[in-house]
Amino acid sequence: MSASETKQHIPEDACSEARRAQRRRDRKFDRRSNWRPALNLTSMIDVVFLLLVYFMVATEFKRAEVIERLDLPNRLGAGVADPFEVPDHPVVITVFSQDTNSGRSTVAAGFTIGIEGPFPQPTTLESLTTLLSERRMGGTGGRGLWPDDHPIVLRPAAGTDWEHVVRAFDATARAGYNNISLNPNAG
Amino acid sequence: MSTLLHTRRRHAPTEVESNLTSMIDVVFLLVVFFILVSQVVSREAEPLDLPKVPDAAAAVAGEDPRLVVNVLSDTSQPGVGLRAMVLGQPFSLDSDGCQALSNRVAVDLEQRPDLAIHLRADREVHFEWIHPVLEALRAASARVDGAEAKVHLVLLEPAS
Repeated sequence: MSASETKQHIPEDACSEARRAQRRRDRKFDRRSNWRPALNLTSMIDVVFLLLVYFMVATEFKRAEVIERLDLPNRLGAGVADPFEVPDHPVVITVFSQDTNSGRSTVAAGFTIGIEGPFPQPTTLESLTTLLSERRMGGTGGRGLWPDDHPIVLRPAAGTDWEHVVRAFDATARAGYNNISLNPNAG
Repeated sequence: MSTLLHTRRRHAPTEVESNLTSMIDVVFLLVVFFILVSQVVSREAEPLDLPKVPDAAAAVAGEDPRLVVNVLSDTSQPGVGLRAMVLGQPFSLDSDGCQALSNRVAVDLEQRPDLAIHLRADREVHFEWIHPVLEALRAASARVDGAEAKVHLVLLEPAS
């Protein structure tokens, strides 16, 4: 056994404090013992878990964002007009938010949409989609005359919330058209 | 064996230890991940209320190269656009700011003509503040040869 065990016959009270300490040191650094340096990692793991939980809580797990294509027609450059092209009169759809200037802090409750021209005026976004889809070539009903790229201009009035513009845009795009632009000065 | 040693052995507590090294590795990896992700998100996309459109005919944005233009709302004046933000750089919404925004977008379009521009605007900003931004994007696209303005409107994913 170890060197300390050979001194076991010495009575306990005869050992001075210094000799006991020496014996403890001897036992510690004895090559044959299994003593290994160990690090207590408990507090570090506590702190790290705390950080992990903090960052998980502080991170905003957002709802995913989706996109709608709005390909702005590039009309600033000097384009050459095709003389044989029949001029397409764009369909102008007006959007107008109700009670916009009442000091609210959120989006207005409702909005009004309309089509300029001899069309039945839509009251809801669904009726706007239906109306436009019936007039599209290959749309519902099969009697429409407008091609897919028939120009459609959304004309939001001043003070229209962006959400209402996007909703009207979405209703128009769902009818199957792909040439929709936003212009407050159209018509 | 003496009684002294015998009793000491019997009272020695048994220590059960597990090797925690791999767990600490994984946990540190998670911490670093969350730190980096939170920084990336806040740099490109400003926190704002996106428009909510029920059952929108929209698509999830892919991994194609994009430039995000944020239009923030003024919190003290509802409906008023405060500024546009591109990668943390603010632009005012007057004519000077829109000119600067157009230049900024044109620089990126020069490098990548197929760049998609994502327009993230607050849902309560009025359209008269969005329109100059759209005009600036269109001007930037017209200035760069071979670029076409692929502008996408960003809205919140509809709740299913």
